[in-house]
Amino acid sequence: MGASAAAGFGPLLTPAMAKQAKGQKKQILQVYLQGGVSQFESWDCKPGTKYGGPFREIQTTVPGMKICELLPYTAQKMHLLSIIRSINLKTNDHGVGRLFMEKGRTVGDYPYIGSVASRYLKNTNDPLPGYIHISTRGLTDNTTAFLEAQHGQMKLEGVAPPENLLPRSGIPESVLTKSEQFRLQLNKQFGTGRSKSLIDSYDASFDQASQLMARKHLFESQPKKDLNRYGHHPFGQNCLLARRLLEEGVTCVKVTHHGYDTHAENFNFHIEQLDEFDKTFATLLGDIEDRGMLDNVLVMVYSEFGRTPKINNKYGRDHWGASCSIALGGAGIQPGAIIGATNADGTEVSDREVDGGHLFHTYMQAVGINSTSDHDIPGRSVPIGDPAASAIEELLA
Amino acid sequence: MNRMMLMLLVMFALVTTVEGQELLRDRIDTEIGLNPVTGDDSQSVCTDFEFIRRVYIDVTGRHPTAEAVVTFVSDQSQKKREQLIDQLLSSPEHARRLQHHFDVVLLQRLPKKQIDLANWQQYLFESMHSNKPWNQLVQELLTVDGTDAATRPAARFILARELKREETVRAIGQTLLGRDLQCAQCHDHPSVGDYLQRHYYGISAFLSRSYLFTDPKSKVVSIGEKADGDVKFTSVFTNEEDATSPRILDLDAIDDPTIEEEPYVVKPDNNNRGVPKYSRRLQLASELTSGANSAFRLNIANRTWALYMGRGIVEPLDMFHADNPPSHPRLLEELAQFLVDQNYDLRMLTREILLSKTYQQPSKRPSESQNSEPFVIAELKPLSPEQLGLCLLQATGVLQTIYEKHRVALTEGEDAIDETTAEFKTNLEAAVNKEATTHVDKVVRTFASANQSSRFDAAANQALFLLNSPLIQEWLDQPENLLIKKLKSAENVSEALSHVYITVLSRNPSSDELDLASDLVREFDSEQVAGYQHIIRLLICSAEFRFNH
Repeated sequence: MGASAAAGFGPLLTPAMAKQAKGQKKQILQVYLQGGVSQFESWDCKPGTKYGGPFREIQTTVPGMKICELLPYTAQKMHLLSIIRSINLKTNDHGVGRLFMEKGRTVGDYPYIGSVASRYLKNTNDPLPGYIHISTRGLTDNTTAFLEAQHGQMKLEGVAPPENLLPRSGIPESVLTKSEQFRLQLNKQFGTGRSKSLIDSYDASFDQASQLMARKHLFESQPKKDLNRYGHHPFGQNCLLARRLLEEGVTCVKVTHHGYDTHAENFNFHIEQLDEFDKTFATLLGDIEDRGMLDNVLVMVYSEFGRTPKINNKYGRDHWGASCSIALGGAGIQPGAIIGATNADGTEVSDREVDGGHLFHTYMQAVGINSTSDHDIPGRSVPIGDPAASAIEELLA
Repeated sequence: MNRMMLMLLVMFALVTTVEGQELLRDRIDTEIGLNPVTGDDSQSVCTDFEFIRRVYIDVTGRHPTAEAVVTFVSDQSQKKREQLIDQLLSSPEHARRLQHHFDVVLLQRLPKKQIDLANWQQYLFESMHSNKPWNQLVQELLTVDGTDAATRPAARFILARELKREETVRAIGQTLLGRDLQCAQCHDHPSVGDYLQRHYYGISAFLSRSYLFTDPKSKVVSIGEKADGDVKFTSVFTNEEDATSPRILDLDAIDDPTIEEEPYVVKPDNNNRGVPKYSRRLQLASELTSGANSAFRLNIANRTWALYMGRGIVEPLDMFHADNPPSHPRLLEELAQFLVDQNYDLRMLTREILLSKTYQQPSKRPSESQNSEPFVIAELKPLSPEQLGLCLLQATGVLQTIYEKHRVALTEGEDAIDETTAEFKTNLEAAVNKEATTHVDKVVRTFASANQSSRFDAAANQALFLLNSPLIQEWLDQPENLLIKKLKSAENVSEALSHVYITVLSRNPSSDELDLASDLVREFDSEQVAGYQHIIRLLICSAEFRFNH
């Protein structure tokens, strides 16, 4: 898991450290700001311009990098992250944008980042599922496409335990132990002379289930001290759970923060939402760094698109995929960089245009997955990343 | 001549029909490498216990009742397996099983769009129950435009995809031609040499003039068509531009006929659905299902084989191409030809497969070093989500209880129906299905995925469901549960547990199993029924239950 030896070196690894880090398991933390966070009110401000809105920009810990004043705590952590400001998703549709950001492709049936990471980065003896998504609402998508079901997202409703986690009440411990032996004996007997791989797959799912059951403490109450730091609201609780899951070795953890689709009262809503986001996210990122995990954990903060330069008559901004931003860092990402730019009034990309395909390649390369190769599936040849795109090389450390 | 030659001659005479043609079931056995008649072959097929469970699950979607198992196993008649096959194939439960199966194959669990799901499912059920020829069914799916309420449900194949090119063309390729052409949309397939961009657009050209029309008054969405529009495409790899007329794979392109003057029967506008004199979309149905298009018959022959044998002769089922050859090419051709000769009667093909020795092979290898050729030993077949749901209802006594309730309702009172009639069987199944579906849907939700792979998948949340779900406990705790009632009235623990094993796993427990299980039941002290319920819950978590074997 985390390379505690790398603590204190931050992102600038010596070659020896880098070599050691390479042997360690990579993980991903996704923070999804659902609805489309406004780039004007976060990563790519245009203060004092026609569409800039009322907020100012503030200095960060990276000289020359400024972000919106609504993110003061995150600004203190920007030396750990980079920003891409030149994303053009060519869509203003929630579903299309979201899927493009998750799959790296605009059409077709492909696995999400989390499922791909689970498939190629998860160790066979990792006890927990490879991809866990913590969200208090939203649909449960099928995220695996043609990959195995065990790499599908396990959806947690906030910090509530997964469905059916707790054994039936009133069954004595001795019975539970004997029952497990009974079940294993049945399968051993049935498996003699029959297809090993199928039965092993099946047994593995019960293994995973019992590992989850043994970790029900993760879903019981969280330490008050931590909650004070993360915030006593659902997003705070979810991020705290996310950190603990990453510490337990879950390959990809995704936390969704809802409420960014600000067609009305864009500015007031962003004050509220980012107020919740800012301190919590900075705490989470800081904790990951303190634990020496950042060299192995790719961190991304993203939305399905940005918001329009034009402010509508409800003080809102509408959907805008033509020029939006993302913040990412950790693992193989060089921090403290700004990639790409938008023009002076934020109405289009002016330099280094990229899309969901390029981002997907970049994430994969940053965690050591060769996105230009094919998926490891029998009978089919499917490239991991879209062959029409490529990684943003200047961002890879 | 010597004895051996004489025996061979006799065998040859036995396996041929009067017309001198070998039965397909025997051709299957020959091609797979199982000699059809080798004297006493009762050793080489699965036991009666295994057979009845396997064929029930394959044909009706759920395993047999305890009573059915006991009756079948003790029946001494020589032809009992063939009789059982025929009984199950003609049952409404079989039609329901095929409804579930083809719904998933053709519609891939897409959500409701435009067409009421119950109407679609009923249409599919009736098509299966009446044994509608496969080519006729496919023609309906591709030609129905949705304007006629009576035939409208068939339009779901196209309307669920909203006529979106990437989804509709892919579905046609995968489900009807055995070719996933998805990657050939933007360029020739990067690694499958046989899948070209012009193949993708050749199919697209049949549909590109069709569009969704919303009636301004009724708001009903149907399929209209224009009389013009051509298909061009560019490869994102080579930037070369090309064009194609409607064309099925490598067959001849179908050029539009010259239409004098007015090309429309009904001109398209805001109030009228366009109806051209020449419809490219209607051509799709006839061209795709024609004898010239071998892909059509090979696909359905392969899928039918895979359904009962657990694995296609071509695997994956939607990857027919030169670098992925069939394991038994001649056999596949014969299965396809048989279907054509039988006018695409799937039931006839199914019957021949089930009657073969190959289908009846055991799934357990007698020794470690054994022939690993495909189909020589029966495959383990993971239960589909619908099969699992029904088997869980069967294992917990719920299905039996529902059947009995509706049987009584149908055979008593003023409108009583005679139990021996086909009408009774159909009405009973319909009533049972309606009630069972409410339970099965809950299981399907946990076990279904849109994953089109035929590979087995298991996830932790599914294991948690089987282990801990309160839903299953509710089923077992139902006061009217006939299985629990029977267990309560058993003479002793042994008898009760034997009944549990026959009900859940269609077999008797070994003496070791009986000891282990009795030991567990004893842990429940006076709560014996809770103990039996616990054993049932453990058995349904077993690999033996999860896979059809």
